[in-house]
Amino acid sequence: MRWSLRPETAGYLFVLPAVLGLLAFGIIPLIYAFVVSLHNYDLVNPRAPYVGLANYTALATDRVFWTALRNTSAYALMLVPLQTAVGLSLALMVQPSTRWIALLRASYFMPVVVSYVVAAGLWEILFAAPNGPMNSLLALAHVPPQLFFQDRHQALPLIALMSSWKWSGITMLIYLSGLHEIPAELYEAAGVDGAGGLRQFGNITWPLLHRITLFVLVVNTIEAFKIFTPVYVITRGGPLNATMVLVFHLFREGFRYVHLGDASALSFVLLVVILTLATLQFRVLRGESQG
Amino acid sequence: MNLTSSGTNIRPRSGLLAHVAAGGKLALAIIFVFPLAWMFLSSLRPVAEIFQYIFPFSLWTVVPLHATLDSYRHLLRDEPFGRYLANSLIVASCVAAFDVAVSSMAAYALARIRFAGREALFFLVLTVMIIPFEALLVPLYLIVRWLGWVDSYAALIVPMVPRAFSIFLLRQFFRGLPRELDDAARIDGCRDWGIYWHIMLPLSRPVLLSVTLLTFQEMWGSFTWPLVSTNNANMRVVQVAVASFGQGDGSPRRSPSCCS
Repeated sequence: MRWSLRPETAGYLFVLPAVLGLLAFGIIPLIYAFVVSLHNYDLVNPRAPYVGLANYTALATDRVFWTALRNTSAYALMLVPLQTAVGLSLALMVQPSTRWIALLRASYFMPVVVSYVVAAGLWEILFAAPNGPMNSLLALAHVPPQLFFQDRHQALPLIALMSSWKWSGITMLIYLSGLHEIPAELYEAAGVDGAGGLRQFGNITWPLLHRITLFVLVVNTIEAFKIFTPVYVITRGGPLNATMVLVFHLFREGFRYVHLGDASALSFVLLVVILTLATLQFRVLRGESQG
Repeated sequence: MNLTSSGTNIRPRSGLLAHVAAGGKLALAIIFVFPLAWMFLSSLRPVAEIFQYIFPFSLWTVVPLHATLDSYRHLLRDEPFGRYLANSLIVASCVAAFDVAVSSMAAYALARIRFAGREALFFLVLTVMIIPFEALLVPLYLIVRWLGWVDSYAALIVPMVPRAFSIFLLRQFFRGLPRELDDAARIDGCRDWGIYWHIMLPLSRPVLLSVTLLTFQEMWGSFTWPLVSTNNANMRVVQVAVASFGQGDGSPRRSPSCCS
């Protein structure tokens, strides 16, 4: 008799490596994070005492945590509308596909290809104070030298500006795929009825892009709450905690001060924020496709 | 019937307006490209020249006066930058290769084979996809330390496989392939492995390639996990090395245009 597997068994064998990976490096760490957050854990003391929710209550009285939460939200509020608006504008601008337009598309997309670390390092040099290239450019217009990343009012908005420079190309790409799905007949009919470009945008393009816009908004918000790399590279949370964000706070607590319990409590707060946003996204998208 | 709109919403405009629009598009292109071009041009400068021509703003602020490859030579000869590049290359290639193998197998089973718990497994994939990696930094570090993997390629590679997103993407694609192909193959005596290997994979080459490239690109650019899981300079990847430039020692930041 030939040796053969029941289809069931074959199925399990096919998914086995993936499931092991997803469990070992996804689900188990998640549970472990919760366990660690209930203990006073550091790397020196092997027997971490159980402290219940003390790490969470400590978080509630941690002023840096509230600063980080406020800064992260402020960053999201600046980045998300900016990146979405820029992405949509770019998509509308590069829509009729010609050879020149393809070149423009490639230009707008270029920062996406560069790594986040390199992009952040580049902006740090460009906006160096007081003698960087940007200040030199401003001097042409007789603007006095700015402190940029060293100014506690400019640093966070500049990081938002940098991130939207880096990522708008992705948003453009998503909107382009949406624009492709709008039937050309709609515009032809509108043109026959005498509707101009602006009215066509208001009555056809914008309403039909509604779903994509919701998707873009939620994805960008989730990404915004995970901001870390440019903060690490450029400002390390400074000046005066002006760019202290959730993940950087988590990183510092966990890997610089080795307060692993506190860091894990922070992880859970981050998780709750992002899961809430993701649920919102799921709801909104499902509601849309039904309505 | 032409379903793709090709800019028909933009009506022919007067000459002046068209020029203004073209100028705007070009200005935006400059904003997006200029910093990168400046970085590249600066990388061709000798060290002494890097900060010399910034004030006042002139052509030489942008264009190097004396072009040289000194910076690149310095990076490769005086600093172990070749090692960092090799580390990134090894990690990104291994993760991409392992991920596409493991993910495509799981995706095939999720798309084609009926077994108890399949829906639950797909839910697992979606769950892991939503979990922000940043929230797992601390526990993952503890697990990797417990395994004795700190400062090893294993730490940089193994926890990254598989990527839930790859499984999701491939499953969607496999589901779109016609089932008649499976049935025909089964009649010809193929079993699941044969269908996966001889039918699914050859038909999905473009998707497999884009999943591989996407993973490679993300791993090449990944920063936070290597930063946390390695201390030894021998294990440093390019992004961590670039991030540590110009910190502390007061030496001018090299333009790392080679590490995009």
